[in-house]
Order: sequence, then C-alpha cells, then structure tokens
Amino acid sequence: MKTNRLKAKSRRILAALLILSALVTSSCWDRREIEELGIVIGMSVDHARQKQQTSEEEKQFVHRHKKLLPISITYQIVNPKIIGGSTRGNPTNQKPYINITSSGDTAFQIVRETSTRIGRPPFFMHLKIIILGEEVSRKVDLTQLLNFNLRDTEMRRTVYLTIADGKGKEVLETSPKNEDLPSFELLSLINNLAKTIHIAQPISIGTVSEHLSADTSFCVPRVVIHQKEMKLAGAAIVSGKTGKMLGWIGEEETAGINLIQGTGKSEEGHKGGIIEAVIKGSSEPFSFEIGKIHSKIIPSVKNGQLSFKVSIKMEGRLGEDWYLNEDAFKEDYLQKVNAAVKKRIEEIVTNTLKKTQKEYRVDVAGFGKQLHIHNPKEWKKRKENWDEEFSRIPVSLDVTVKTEEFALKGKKR
Amino acid sequence: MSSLPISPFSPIQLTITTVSTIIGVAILTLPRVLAEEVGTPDVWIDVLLAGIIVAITSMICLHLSNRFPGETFYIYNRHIVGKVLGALISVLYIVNYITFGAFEARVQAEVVRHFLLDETPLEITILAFLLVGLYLVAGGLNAIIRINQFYFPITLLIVFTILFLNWKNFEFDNVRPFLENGPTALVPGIFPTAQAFSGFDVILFLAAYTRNAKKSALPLLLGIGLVTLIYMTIVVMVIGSLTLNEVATLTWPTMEFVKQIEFPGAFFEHFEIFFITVWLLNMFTTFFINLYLASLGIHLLLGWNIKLVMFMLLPVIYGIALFPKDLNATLELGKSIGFVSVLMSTTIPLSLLLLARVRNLPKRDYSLKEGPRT
Repeated sequence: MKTNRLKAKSRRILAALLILSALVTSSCWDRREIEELGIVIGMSVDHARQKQQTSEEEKQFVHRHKKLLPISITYQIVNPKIIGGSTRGNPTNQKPYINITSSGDTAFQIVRETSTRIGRPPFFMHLKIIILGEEVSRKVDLTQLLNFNLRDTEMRRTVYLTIADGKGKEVLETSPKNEDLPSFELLSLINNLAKTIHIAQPISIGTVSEHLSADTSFCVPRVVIHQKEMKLAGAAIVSGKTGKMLGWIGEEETAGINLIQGTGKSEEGHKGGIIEAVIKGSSEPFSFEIGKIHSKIIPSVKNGQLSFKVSIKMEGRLGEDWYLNEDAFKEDYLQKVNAAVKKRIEEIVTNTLKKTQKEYRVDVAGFGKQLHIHNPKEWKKRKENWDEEFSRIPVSLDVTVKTEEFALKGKKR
Repeated sequence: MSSLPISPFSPIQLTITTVSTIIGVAILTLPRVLAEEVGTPDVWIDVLLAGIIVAITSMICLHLSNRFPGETFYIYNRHIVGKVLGALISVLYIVNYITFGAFEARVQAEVVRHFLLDETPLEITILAFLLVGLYLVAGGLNAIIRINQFYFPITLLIVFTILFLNWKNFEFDNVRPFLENGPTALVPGIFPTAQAFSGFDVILFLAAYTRNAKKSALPLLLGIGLVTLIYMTIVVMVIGSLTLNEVATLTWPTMEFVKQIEFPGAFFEHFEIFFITVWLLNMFTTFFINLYLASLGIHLLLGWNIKLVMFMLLPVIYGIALFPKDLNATLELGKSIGFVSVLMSTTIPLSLLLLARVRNLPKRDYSLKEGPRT
C-alpha cells in the first residue's frame, strides 16, 4: 500500500520534472540560427563622400555631426548558398560573397543601418580582417575608427588590420586567386612573412590598440590594388600620438624594419625571405636566403649623450648565384658573400632609418621600449615627446652574417 | 531545529575548500586593478607580497581555531570577547558573507552577459545561479566540500590550459623593466591584491570540522602558495601579452587574454566560451561557501532551522545582487566588500588571538572531548 503511494508520488514528480524540463530546455533567450546570420569575414572602412543627390531621408543620418568625418563601411558577408554547398561548380554565376556598404558617423550605427537593407544583419564572431582606406586613416584617429571593434563583445582582438593604397572597398572587390573570398586571400597573404621580408609584420587590432594606448608608433601592412588584383607591399606608418597615418614606407624600408626587429618566436613572426647582393669584384647578383635573424637594440648613454646600437646577427644559405666564377667550396668565397650581404643589410637598414627617423620622425621599430627597459630614468625624461626625440638620436649598426650552406651546387665547373 | 549533520573532513579537503573559495571572480579584473593602482609592469611582486601576508594571516586564523578545537568561530568568539561583542562580530561576518555571495552572483551575471548570453536579462542569470547554489548548499557542508574536491583539478587544468595556449602571445619585454620606480612604488598595489585573496577566512569556521586540524598548517600554506602562483602567472601573462597600458583600459582583461587564444584548426577559436562556462563553476564554489557560512551563522545565533535560513537568505542575496545600478557600481561594491573583508580577516583574528593568549583561553580542557561539535 505504502509502496504504491510512493510509486505514484515519484511518478508525479517525474511528470512534473518532465514538464519543467520541456519548459526550460525548449527555447533560449539568445538563440540565433546559423542560417539566419550574415557571417562577416572581412570589412573595410573608407571615407564616405557625399553624393550629389541624396534624398531627404538619407540626409537625416549622414553628416549629422558636423565635426565627424562620415565613414562608409563595407562588409564582406559569406554567401552560404554558394560556399560549401553542393553547387560547388557555381552554375548560378553568383559570387560566394556579398559586399554591402553603408555609411554614417559611427561604426555601430552603420552596422544597424545595414539591417535596413539586408535580411541577414552582419554577425562578427568570425571577422578575420579589417582594411582601412588610405584617406580615412590619414584623417581619423585609429583609436576612434577601431573603437567599436575593440569594444563589442562579438568582436575579437585577433582580427588583422591592413591599410589599402586607395579605397579599402576595392580590396574586397578584387578577384581572389586561391580562396573563395578576397578576405581569405588577403589573410593568407598576410601570413606569408616567412617567404618574403618585404611585407610588414602582421598586426592585429589588439596590438594596434596596445600601441595606441602606449603612444608608440607602428607599421601596418599595405595592400596595393592593381587591375582587380591585390598585392601586399610595404607598410603604412601610423603615429602613436595622433593615431593617424603619416605616410607609406616601401618594400625595402619594410625589410629594414623587419631586420631591426629580428625574428619573433611565434610562427607568424618568423621572418624569412631573400636578400639580393653583389659580391665584390663582380657584376652578377646572388640570392641569400634568410634562415634566422637575431636582432638587438642596445641603448647607451655616454657623457649625457644617448645613442643606440642595432646588432643584427643573421644566418642563412646561398640560394642562387649568377656569378660565373663562384666557388662556394672555398671558405674565402663564402666570406665574400657574407661581406656583400652585410653591406647590403647595412644599406637597407640605414635607408630605413633615414626615412622613418628623419623624414617621418617616428620610432616604429621599438627603440623606445628598449630604452624604457634598459634605462628607465633616461626614458622618463624623454618619453613625453619620444618620436621627436628619437629623430635626433644617432643609431649605429653592427651586422654579422654567416652563410651556413650553399645548397646542392657550389661552382660552375 | 538542528543543523545538517557534518562528518569531519581531512586537512587536504579543508585546503581545497579554502583555495576554491579564494579563487572566484577577482581573477577576471585583478590585472586591471593592479595596472591602475601601480602602473608598472612588475606588479606581480605585489601578488607575491599579498600572498605572503595572506599566508601569515591564514596561519593566525588556524592557530586561533586550534585553540578551540571542535568549535566554529561563531561559537568560540563569545568565549573570548563575551556574548554581546561576540554576536556583533558574528553578525559582521554574516553580513560580509551575504554581500560577498551577492557580489559573486552579480559579477557572474555581468560576465555571462558580456561573453555568453547577450540578451538574457541579468535577473534571470542571477536567479538561476542562486537557485543552483541553494540546491547544493541545502545538501550540507559535506556536499560543498565534495564538489570543491571534484572541481579543484578542473580549475587547475583550465588555468594552465589558458596559460599554455597563450604562450605565443606572451612577450617578455612587456613585463620589463623590473622595479623602475623603486620598491616603494609597489606598496599601493598590495592592498587591492589582498582583496583578491578574500575568502581565506573560511578556515576560522571550517577548521572545527577538520580531522587533525593541527596538521593542516602545511597543506594550507601549500594551497595559498598555489593560489599566489596562479594569480602571479596570470598577472604576468596578461600584462606580458596585452601590455600594461592596454590592460588598464579593458573591462575584463583576463577574459580578453583568453579571447585572443587562436588555434590552428578553428576548434579553439572561441575558447572564451568554453572558459567562461567552466569558470562559472569556480564562482559557484565561492558562492556556495558564502551562502553556507552566512546561514550557519544565523542558525547558530538565533537557533533557526538552517535550511529555512538558507531559503530566507536567498531573496536577500538576490536583492543585494540586483542593487548596483550598473557595472561601475558593481565593481565599486566589489571594492568596498574587498576592503571590509581584508580588514576583517586580518585584524579580527589577530586581535582575538592576542586576547585569547592574554586571557589564557580556553580555560576548559578540550582534549577530553571527542569529535566535532557545533
């Protein structure tokens, strides 16, 4: 009798639990169906030009704040119907992505404005890359441009940043070679630092924000567009103080910055690449493949005069040689190669310093950081106006090059 | 009318519970607090110093408790300072535990809102947190100890996983130079760091139920050493990978630190979701013990049924958790709770211990009694 009642009781509890669990588990406040999301992979920010004929309705939004420069943002959204579907052969001739551009004064407003025009509003969890247009980066502080990206919880600090030579939007419109989306193509280009020394170290918006909060200047990789093709070449110099872009440095000067900074420990930071030089007494070039770079910036104060020494130690291999009289089996030939590479590196770094130190008057290679570490007192005296101070400080070089090997062939005969 | 039966536990279990109580939400904001207060990258020294201070204070707590074996702080404080003052001290501790539990629930909800459930109202997240907490606490102290013990290895695993996965983001240059403004510049950081350790005073209450409480000094010191090590590594790693200036601008620096983990293969791409889910249980382990000790205090003071007290405390905690009007008010509440808690857990046990020595207490001989009493 008692067991029966107990059974009935437990059954009732079970029923109650089932109903409760149905109530609790059936829905979720934050449910978002994956096919209802417009997954943004890349975005670009440009300066929005006022169109000649804007309707009254549009005018309400654009340019409300006179002080701000209106910006236009393009989102590259994955088109799930094309990408990864069975229609891989793309019979509809549709692109695997949708580019949508909106303009306004603030980034958040622009995101929301987009949802008045596209059924699936942008979703940023998978954003990988941001491309800034040249004009907007020269006119607006990056702290402000990237504020929304660093603040919103949907965004990540690991998103890469590049600055386009021209309009950022054009990069998103190029035709990709290997990947489905231009954004992915650019992303793989950025990580090719191990192959060439002529592109700048990849920089994430998190790192950008770190530089800006410490007022240190930095480089951002530059994307060049030529006939619907993109190319990474050189870098943009951004001032830490104003947060605005100051100008470009070319491929060789970027190489100089890379040489000063040396090889990082992470895979993305590993710098490889080729240095072309000509051996003394010859007119034919050879290619030296960089294996490892160990660089150090050493500050020293003598008689109240601050100076820096950049020490670069490089190891690598002789990868190609056009000189017909070469004989890499002889040690003194390799010594000549070393000397030629050393001379070339000194040239590159000196030119780089001339451009950044004297022309742009900024420190983008972390000289200030090293001074701060090794001589905090001296740093405290100068940190307020560091970029300007740095332009007057002499930098000397100490380069050592070692050819470790010369691959499979060493002489003509 | 009585409290739930408690079977005695080992010194290791006491240590694990203490460690689990200390580790809570403080770790999420500690790097920013330090970056703001001190402003040099060598703030990890502060953590070390605070750890040493806490280790000493925890020994004081243990020593005090061991003078009155088998009795919890709520009971023996009246032997030392008399009934009225003792009750007052007990009330102070009860209020502290209630507000601390509420704060833990609120911060938990804020973090969940930022990183997991964007649209879910705070009220719901807090309520769910409190109800689950109540369910466990109603199972008594042994259930709490058990879940702490079960969860402890997971905490260690998750901490060392985030540190390991972030290794490539760490730059040694960011934590240099060392002592640039001299050692005195570090002093303002010690107090805020000590707040991150608040919760170690549970020893006062739990030593009573520990078998061989006299032998728990070594495990406790090791436990606090472990917490210090975890805090130190996290502070060093967060500052080393995000830089000091940046850390000072971030709401949850440790979360950003976890968020920047990127793993080839995309599986670990959104590691923070995984991390926060697991870390929630860590906030629970702090909350459980707060709720339990507050209820125990009221139960011992007024003689009410302890389960009833737990139920009655829930709406109070819910109210306090919802009281701060925004995030800043919440963090401000955290600061004041931390302040009171540090003051209490250092000064009260020390002065009571001194008093007990001076008055040569306890007068009764406890060695004849067996087993814990409440």
